[in-house]
Amino acid sequence: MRWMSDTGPLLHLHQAGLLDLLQEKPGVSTTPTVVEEWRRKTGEAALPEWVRTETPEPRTLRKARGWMRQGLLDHGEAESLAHALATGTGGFLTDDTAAREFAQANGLVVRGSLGVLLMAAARRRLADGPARAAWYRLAHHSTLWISPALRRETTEALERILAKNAAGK
Amino acid sequence: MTVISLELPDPLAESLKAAEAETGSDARELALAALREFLGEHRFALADAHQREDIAAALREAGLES
Repeated sequence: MRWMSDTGPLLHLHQAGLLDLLQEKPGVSTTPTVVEEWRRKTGEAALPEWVRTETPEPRTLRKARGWMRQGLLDHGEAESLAHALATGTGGFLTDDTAAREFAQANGLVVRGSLGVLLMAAARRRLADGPARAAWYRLAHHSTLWISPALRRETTEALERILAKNAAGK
Repeated sequence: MTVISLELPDPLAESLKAAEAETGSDARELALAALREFLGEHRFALADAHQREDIAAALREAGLES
């Protein structure tokens, strides 16, 4: 499945040093406004080359502007989500609550930064130690909002996944 | 009026500085606007619900839940 990302997961995973978790075939795409937001917020010159930047069609941009005018979504989220829907992208990556609701209502599979990390552990792309370190960095070194209750639930879920992985060796 | 003080993690403090430069608003104004929007739209509960969906998906992927 192809994935389109707005700024949130690209930013939060970068802050935690985990952007490489997105490097899966057939890859992750995004749109020019998201790239600009990511550059502004990270101070980095460019996203890794394996994150494809796709330019939306004019009618897609008009749809995105309509959502923005209605106050439904911000610029990067509106542009990337409109492009995902226009191009038949199956999955959308976002940490924004409104964008996630909007994407799910339009039939997309949606994951956030936390889901990217946990899915990597579940697929054994992260071994025990690196998975724990990755979770620590996402929780403590990124600006992703994770409530105390969700921190506990995530730790418990990760422990279960890692125990299963260890038992299956 | 209630006064609160808090320690910001470095990445959040840097984001706040960048937002100040971008908008011309000071940190207090931005913090009030962010808090008002987040609380007003009940985003805490929604963010929790979304992250629980991610946890459940990973547990299914690992074969730990159906």
